[in-house]
Amino acid sequence: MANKSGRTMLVKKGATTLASVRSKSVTWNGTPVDVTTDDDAGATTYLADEFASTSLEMSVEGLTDDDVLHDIAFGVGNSAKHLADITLVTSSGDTISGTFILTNYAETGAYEDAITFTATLIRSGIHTVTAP
Amino acid sequence: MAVEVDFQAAIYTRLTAQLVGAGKPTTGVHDVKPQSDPAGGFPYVTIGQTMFTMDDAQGSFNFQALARIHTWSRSGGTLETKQIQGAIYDALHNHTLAMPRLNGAGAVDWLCYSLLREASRIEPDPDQSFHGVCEYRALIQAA
Repeated sequence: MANKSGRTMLVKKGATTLASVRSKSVTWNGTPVDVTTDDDAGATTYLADEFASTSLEMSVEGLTDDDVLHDIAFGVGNSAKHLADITLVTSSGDTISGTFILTNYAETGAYEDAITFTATLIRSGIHTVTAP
Repeated sequence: MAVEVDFQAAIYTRLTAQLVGAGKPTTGVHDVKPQSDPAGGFPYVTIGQTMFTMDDAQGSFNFQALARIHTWSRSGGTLETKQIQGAIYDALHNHTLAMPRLNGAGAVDWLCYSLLREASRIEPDPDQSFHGVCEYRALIQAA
């Protein structure tokens, strides 16, 4: 499979791609169920085919001329920070969608540079993957 | 229109308005150093090399531009060059630079949202002139 450029990976809210994003990352983590016993001769053993929990986290960084996440983060209410319409379109065209919660948003304004932001979105519940 | 063209036209327009004319410190602003002494003589300013660096983000086209503005003086000392560099600073530093499309009847393709001086120096030139070099960094985005 050929390498793909980072700009082919998109984060969308609804049907609209978040604008002026420079960097995106998505991280899946699983916490297995430890079932180690004395019979395992000191080797940690995990329950087959199961996890205690899994998580999916997206991070985005970019410029602030698109105020979508800015407005959500600094809005007073909390319900708006639970986003049911976030999707990640991978470079292969798969669409990962689900409910994501905005858990972190930060802006940095260096005197001589453009204002930049970083944001973190974590999945709540299970996500779906749709092939292109 | 090319961002390079519109940026230089904007710098030229601004510097000419601020530096050239009665009571102003230079005889002209030029694209390159004239091969012979310019009609008005010294001192004058040239817009030298400008380096554009791609600074895109998703769905937005951006550039960083580093522009070198040259000052040429034959006053016999550095005072005149420094005074002109000060006038250039007053004209450009932290200035909201309008970037209309060259010959575009008011159309605008690019926005300059930051323009700051980064460095300034003076060097003696072999032809007995003093050569001032100021570098300005601009942040530009597609309109």
